[in-house]
Amino acid sequence: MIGEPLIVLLVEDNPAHAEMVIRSFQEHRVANKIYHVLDGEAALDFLYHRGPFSMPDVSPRPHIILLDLRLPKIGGLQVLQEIKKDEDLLSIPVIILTTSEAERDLTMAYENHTNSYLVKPIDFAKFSQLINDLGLYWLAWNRQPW
Amino acid sequence: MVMQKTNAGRFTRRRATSGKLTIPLPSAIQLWKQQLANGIARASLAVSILALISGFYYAYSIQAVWLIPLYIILVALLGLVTLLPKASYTLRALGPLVLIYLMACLDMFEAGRTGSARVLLIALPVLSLLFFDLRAGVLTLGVSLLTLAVFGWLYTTGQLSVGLGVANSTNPTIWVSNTALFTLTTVLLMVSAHYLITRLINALSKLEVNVKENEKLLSLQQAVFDATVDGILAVDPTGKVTTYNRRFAEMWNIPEEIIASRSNIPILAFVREQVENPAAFMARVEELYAHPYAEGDDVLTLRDGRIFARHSTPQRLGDEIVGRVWVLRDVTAERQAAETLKQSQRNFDLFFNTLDDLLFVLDVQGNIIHVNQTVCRKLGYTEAELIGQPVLVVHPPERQAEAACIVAAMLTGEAEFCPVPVITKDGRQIPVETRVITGEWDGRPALFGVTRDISQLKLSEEALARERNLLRTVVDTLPDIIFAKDRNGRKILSNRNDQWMLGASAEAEVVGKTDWDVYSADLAARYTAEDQPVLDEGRMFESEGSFVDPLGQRHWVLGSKRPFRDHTGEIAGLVGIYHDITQLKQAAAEREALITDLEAKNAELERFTYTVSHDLKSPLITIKGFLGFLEQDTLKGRVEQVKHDIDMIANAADKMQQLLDELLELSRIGRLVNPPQTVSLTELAHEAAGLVAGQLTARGVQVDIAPNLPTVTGDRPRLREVLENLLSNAAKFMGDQPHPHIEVGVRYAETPPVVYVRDNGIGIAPQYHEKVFGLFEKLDAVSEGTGIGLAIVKRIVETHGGQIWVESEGAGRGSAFCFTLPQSNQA
Repeated sequence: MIGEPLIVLLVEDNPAHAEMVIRSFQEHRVANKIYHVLDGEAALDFLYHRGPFSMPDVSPRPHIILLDLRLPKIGGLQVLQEIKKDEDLLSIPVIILTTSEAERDLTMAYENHTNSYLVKPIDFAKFSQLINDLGLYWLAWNRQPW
Repeated sequence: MVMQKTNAGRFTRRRATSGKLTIPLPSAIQLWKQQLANGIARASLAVSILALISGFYYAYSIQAVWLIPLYIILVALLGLVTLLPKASYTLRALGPLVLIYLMACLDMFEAGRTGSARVLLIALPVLSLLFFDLRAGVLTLGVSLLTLAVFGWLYTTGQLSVGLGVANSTNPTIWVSNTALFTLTTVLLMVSAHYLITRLINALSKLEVNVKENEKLLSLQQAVFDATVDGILAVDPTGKVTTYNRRFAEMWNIPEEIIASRSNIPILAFVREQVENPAAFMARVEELYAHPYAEGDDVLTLRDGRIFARHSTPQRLGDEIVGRVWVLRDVTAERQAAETLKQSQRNFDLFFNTLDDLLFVLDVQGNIIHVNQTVCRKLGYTEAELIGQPVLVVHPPERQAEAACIVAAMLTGEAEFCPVPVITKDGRQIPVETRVITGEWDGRPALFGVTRDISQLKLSEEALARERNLLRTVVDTLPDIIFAKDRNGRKILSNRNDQWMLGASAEAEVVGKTDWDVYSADLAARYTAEDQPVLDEGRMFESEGSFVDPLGQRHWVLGSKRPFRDHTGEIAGLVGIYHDITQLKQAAAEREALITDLEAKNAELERFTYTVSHDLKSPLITIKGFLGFLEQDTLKGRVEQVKHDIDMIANAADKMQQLLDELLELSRIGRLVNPPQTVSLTELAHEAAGLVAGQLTARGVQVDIAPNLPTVTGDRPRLREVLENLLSNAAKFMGDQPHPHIEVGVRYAETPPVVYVRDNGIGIAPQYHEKVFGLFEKLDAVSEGTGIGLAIVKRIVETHGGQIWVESEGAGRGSAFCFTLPQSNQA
């Protein structure tokens, strides 16, 4: 474990789900800092430091982005597209975390260069395990140049 | 009778040379005397000249110069008399005689033949009388006496040495007595000669009268002989033609030279070549010649088709047979007429009996007097059974009264047609048509009834009518437009649909018309151009097109035109059949629309399923998740957390219930339909505003509803829901607007009119204008509601056939939800 805090951007419109993810991370002591936004527009604002996130240091560059697909205003896929179009942002691993098991969503996500696609399990134990493994893999095992 | 032929001269000539019956005697005497006188007159001229020369010579030789002037005077007188054209033949003949006499006397006197001179002196007067007449005789006698006297005087006076016998005596007594004797002798001779001549002439004159009468008779006979239409040839027993008439020569066309030969043989040789059977002809001729007393009648057929009746009879003179007369008559015309009559009688019988019509001959009482065999054959009667019966017996009993009336009318000539059927002997009825004509039969007035069996005609007429009706019904019942045109483009058939399409109520209104009569010029030109290859080359024409019917509706048709041909195979016109494919077209269009609609529904369903699975799963995950947290917190005794966990679970469960309720609601739209009503949107908007009044007043929103909103037809509660949702939404997204205001209005400038609900709230950025109508789509994650409201509104508007969209210039600039609905017809 490196001492530097790991930054996660959680884009989730459902507050309950967001709480579950955050709590799970906390339980497993994986992440140090989780930034939660409710919709796609807010996510992009966060990444580009716009709007409410225009103040310095309010929106640091995340190490990973957890992105729901169904989002108000700008949908998850569109956010993914924006990120992967951007030279600066495309290197940030984007993990789709969604309830959708639809084939189309899966295909579209990979076509838009998602780094991973995870479906929220209904079972709590599995949900908890997923978040644990996710944190471990991306935040512990996975090496990043920054 | 002269036949009228072009070469009339030929017959004229022939007439002159035909056999002539002549009695030549009296005319011959006259002619002879005249010709003799003429001859003597001409001869006397010559003799006078000779006498003149010899006289001169003689006078010179006897030295009697005094005779020369006497001579000259005499000769000149005689020549003058001879040359006088009007001088009588006696006078003309007498001169030379006297001269000859004088010269003979001189000559004899010279030669001393006085006796001969005396005979001459007596003979000359007698001959003159005999040959000429009394006057000439007397004149000659005078000359003789004068001569005697002159010579006596000359002798007595001694101037002449030689004296004439009677007067050369110097004794006057003897001289006178001699002279008297001489004169007496001469006169006696003359008287007796004159008597004889007178007798002869009388007899001859009588004869001449008889001959003239005979000539008259003969000329009459000759005229008859020539004028008769029969050809006549008379031949004597030696075969010499004694006479013939012109007609004979004409009938056989015998040339002039043959008939002129007057011989039987060349004539027979010529005519035998013209008869059909020369051998039989000759045999008959020879037989008759062999039997002079036989008479013969036979008929000759000529090769040129003429027929001659030949009669031959002996020519008798008293009991003697002097020849044979052949009489030929051209009977060609009579024979032909008789033959024609016979033939027409035969033909009549043939026609009468073989005609398929029933022929009745009725007397004026209406009784049958004759029928043809067809009547017997068709009705089953014998002729004997019908003859004498009233014609009513061949009519059915129940119609005999009617038939009787018609027959009566026919008898008076008032009717000539009878439609009453006839009945056979065994009671079978035959439909007939009877025509009647009046005429004569065996010299009595009669009615001729010609009755035609029309049962076949009736049957085929019925069959034809049935077939025609069947075809007509088929043609009229077919849902297609059917017509036919002749080669000139004139309509000859038009079925009901075609008539209707042309706005006609009967076929007669369109038959005979061309496209130019019923269509506009450009349409007619187009149709005519289409017809041309069909009519000219027999090609089939097919096309798809459309036209507008009299009610203004457009019909799509699939048309074909094909030629039809007459019995010779020539193209007689064309038949056009136009099949209405409007419904097919509509069905195809409807199917297209349905497919599009279905595809849209499918896509919507997919979206719906996706959304539902996602949105329904979310609360489930929340519930399960927080149950897990609850367990952990309970175990660890974190009481506050437990309360939070339970709240989250409850919220998620509530959310799920809400979602399920709204899904149910959405599924009902378009399924549970209230009966359509005419609704005033103004009225409806007021109602909706009343329903969300709590929400409106809580935010202090002022609502203005236009009084002229359109009246539409639709599901009233649903339409109210639309307005309710829009008003509620507007109130919800007012943001921090200090003067919240909602306007419900209409833009009539557009078609259809656009109804809008405009607010001055937070507005919607253009990129979200589509998204706001999506199921469970929310622009603000934390706002209340599930995001189904606008999805429901859109659904309702669309199921009413309208459209909905949002107009907003962006965040903070307010927004207007606009929709259209089909206008009510009663508006």
